[in-house]
Amino acid sequence: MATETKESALTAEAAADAILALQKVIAAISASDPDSFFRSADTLQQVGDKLNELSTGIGDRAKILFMGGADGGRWEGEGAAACARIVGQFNAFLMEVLAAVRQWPEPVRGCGEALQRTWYEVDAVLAKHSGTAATPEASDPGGETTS
Amino acid sequence: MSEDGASTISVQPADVAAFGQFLQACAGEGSDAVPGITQIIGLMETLGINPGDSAVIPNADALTNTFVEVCRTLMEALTLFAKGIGEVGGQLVTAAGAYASAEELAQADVGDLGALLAATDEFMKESGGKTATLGELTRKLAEEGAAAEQGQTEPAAQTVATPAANPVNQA
Repeated sequence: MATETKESALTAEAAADAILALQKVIAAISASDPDSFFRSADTLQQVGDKLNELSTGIGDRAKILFMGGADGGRWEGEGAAACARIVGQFNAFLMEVLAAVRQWPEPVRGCGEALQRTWYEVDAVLAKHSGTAATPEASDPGGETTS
Repeated sequence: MSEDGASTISVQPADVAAFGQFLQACAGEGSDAVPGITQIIGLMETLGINPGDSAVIPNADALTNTFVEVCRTLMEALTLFAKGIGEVGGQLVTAAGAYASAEELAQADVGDLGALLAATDEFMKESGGKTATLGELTRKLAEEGAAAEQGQTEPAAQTVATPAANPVNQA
């Protein structure tokens, strides 16, 4: 009988520790904002779209000026060639930047999803075991409730 | 007539000036046709992520640091671009004003556009470094994003499996 009481006390103590530990995790993760990752991923997508519009717009206008528009008019000559080369270099830079920006939303969104899933998992575990501390005798001894 | 038989109609100086103004708009607020760099940087300024306590998901904290660096570098790159393309636009407007006709404009040589070339100096010197940095940060962000996702299930599992230990540090 005395052994059982001691085991119950230990189980209750372990359960209380577990609840306290989970509450610490809850408090820590509650300070996070997964939505901020989703919003930022969406904004980065928009930034990429706008950079693409800008690059396309510059390319289209340059093409008309240096290669000829609907009326066939174009700026020719040595100076025109130099200018076309400069504008092309600027646009090439913009496209390189765009290629990088296109890759950013996914990891940012993924990190937000990871935070969100962690929050759900911890919350679910806490909800499942929230009665353990109050009724330690009902819990599985030896940490069986942990999986 | 050109060699292929098509008529070659040279553009007027006003067309070059209009292109210069278009580039200036690209460097600033944009136009009806295209968004400007100012508008894009304005979007960038709304960015912000909050991973909470870094001890829970350490990789989220690393990703956040990289994210901040990514945003800063992108804004620097866009500012460099805007400064350069805006100056090119301004020089084109000025240069176009110096020519009275399409014929004169067609005779413009590189020497006539010296100021235009000078306007691109800073951009040419720094643009390569910026794209290299952005490429490196992009790789880093992808790695840290993947690491954050892989580590996301650990806190709950470890916390409950070893309740006596400090779960926050184990995450």
